[in-house]
Amino acid sequence: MPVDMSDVRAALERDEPDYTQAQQLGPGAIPHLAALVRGDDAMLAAKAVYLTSLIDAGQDAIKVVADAASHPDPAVRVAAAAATRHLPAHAASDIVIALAADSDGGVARVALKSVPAKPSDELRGQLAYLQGNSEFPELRELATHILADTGP
Amino acid sequence: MGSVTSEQAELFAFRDGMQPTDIAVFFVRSTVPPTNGCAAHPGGRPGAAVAAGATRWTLGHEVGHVLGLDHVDNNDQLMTGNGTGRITNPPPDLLPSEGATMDQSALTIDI
Repeated sequence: MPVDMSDVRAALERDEPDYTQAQQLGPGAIPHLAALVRGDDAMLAAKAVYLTSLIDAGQDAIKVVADAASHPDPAVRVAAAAATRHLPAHAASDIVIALAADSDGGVARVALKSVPAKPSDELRGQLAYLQGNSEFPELRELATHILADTGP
Repeated sequence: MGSVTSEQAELFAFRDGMQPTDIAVFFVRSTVPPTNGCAAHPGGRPGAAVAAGATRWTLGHEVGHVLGLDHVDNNDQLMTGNGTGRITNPPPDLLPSEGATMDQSALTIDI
């Protein structure tokens, strides 16, 4: 059955969305989720990008997450960082690299906590940079731990 | 109660000056996964988190959960599971039975 925007909004306008249930909307929801990410409601945009990553890990979903990673609202960028946990490692690494360098420490923190188990060389380079240069002590410490845990 | 993450456990540990039955509400910018609010809390540390993008009814809704209320399928009521942003005819209602449930909560004390 086709999915329309009202179905998607009904799932995401809940105070506590049931993401497991919402996943059942399937790939047909992706265009609507992408529209919500581009919309002016940051709460819905954050929920939409997270749900997108749970529904699909293909190019369309990766683009939605990548778009959300440059959203002006940091709450949406936080959701994009968390969403990368559901993407293939190569795609996640590219997005995490950008978000780990976010000027908002909260966004960068979630990005670092979303580093894939086998980060790319480029992402490891970013982690090494943050280890020595982040203005946030917690991020320097986090980067140190991740580099140690993920190994070369 | 519900299951909590290590970050939630860390957040809900901030209870300086609070009594065991006090409900702590933490106003946060966002949650992972994204929610308007979340009533899951560690045992013995009753509380909820409310996100910056929540509705004006989310705080009451989450405290309702902490006091034992479940979702209902009625957008005239505070505990609607369809989203408090969809509440019609505000302010939203609480049923007498919901009031009784909250009265029976171990967190509700006579003052």
